Amino acid sequence: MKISELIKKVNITPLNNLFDRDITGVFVSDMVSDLMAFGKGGNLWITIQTHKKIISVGAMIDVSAIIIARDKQPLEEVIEAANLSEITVFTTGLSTYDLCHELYEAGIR
Amino acid sequence: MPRELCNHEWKMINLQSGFIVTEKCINTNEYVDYFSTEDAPSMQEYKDGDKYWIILGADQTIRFELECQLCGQIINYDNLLGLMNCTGCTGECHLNNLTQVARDNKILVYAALCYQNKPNVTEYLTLDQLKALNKLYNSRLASRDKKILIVSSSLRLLPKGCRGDIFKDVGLLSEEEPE
Repeated sequence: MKISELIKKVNITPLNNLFDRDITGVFVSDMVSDLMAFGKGGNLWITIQTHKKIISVGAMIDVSAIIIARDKQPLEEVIEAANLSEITVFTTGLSTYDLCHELYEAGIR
Repeated sequence: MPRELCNHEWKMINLQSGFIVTEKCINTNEYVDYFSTEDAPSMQEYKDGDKYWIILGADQTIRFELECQLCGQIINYDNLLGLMNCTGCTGECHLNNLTQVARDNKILVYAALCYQNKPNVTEYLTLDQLKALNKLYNSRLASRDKKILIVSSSLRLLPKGCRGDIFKDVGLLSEEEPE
């Protein structure tokens, strides 16, 4: 599934430019070291972290996008870094659990 | 298959969670850092001869080895503190220059930092360690036009003044990265 398709199905809001990548799976963790260890290119990364490091580590792992759960808002510098790294960052009011449920219902397995 | 002919396929094994503990001697201004597997590393300052160590921080991280799925070779990374991306400093720094040139070619550059177990003794990853790490992370990429280049931190001109961003879990309890 593409990011552009996901937006139509799941309650998420983009915070920057849309980079329409293929989603190859979902990775849920609030630890960058976890993503470094187990993340794979194309993963949709769900976290509640908002600091700039999520962009630099996300770029290294080549995540398809980042969704920040529980309505957390990153600083503008994080958004700028996301545009430079060509990673779309979304926010959602959903909890991580509910977001995962929506993603599953949307067809991401 | 002989190891020298093997086109290695690396996998992380023996993953261990722990902390990067950083200490400073307030008498000599020397620094050390090391990996701790304690559930909660002690933040208690202590005296060791003429040195008085205070704990500057304990940040969560992982330790691992890489194993080739084809030939069985194992490479240990106990000395790896973490990876760092250069955020720009002086035009005289080799890492800074390499990062900028590579970025124009869709290559992301990261420096591999080693633990400094002894004051004023800097270690670097070996060539074999660097090659395996590069192969692992490049094999995980989904974008065909993207590349990862992990280099030795010896390319840094000013290690003490380096403004790079080290990939470790700082201040996780607060959810926000401390200033």
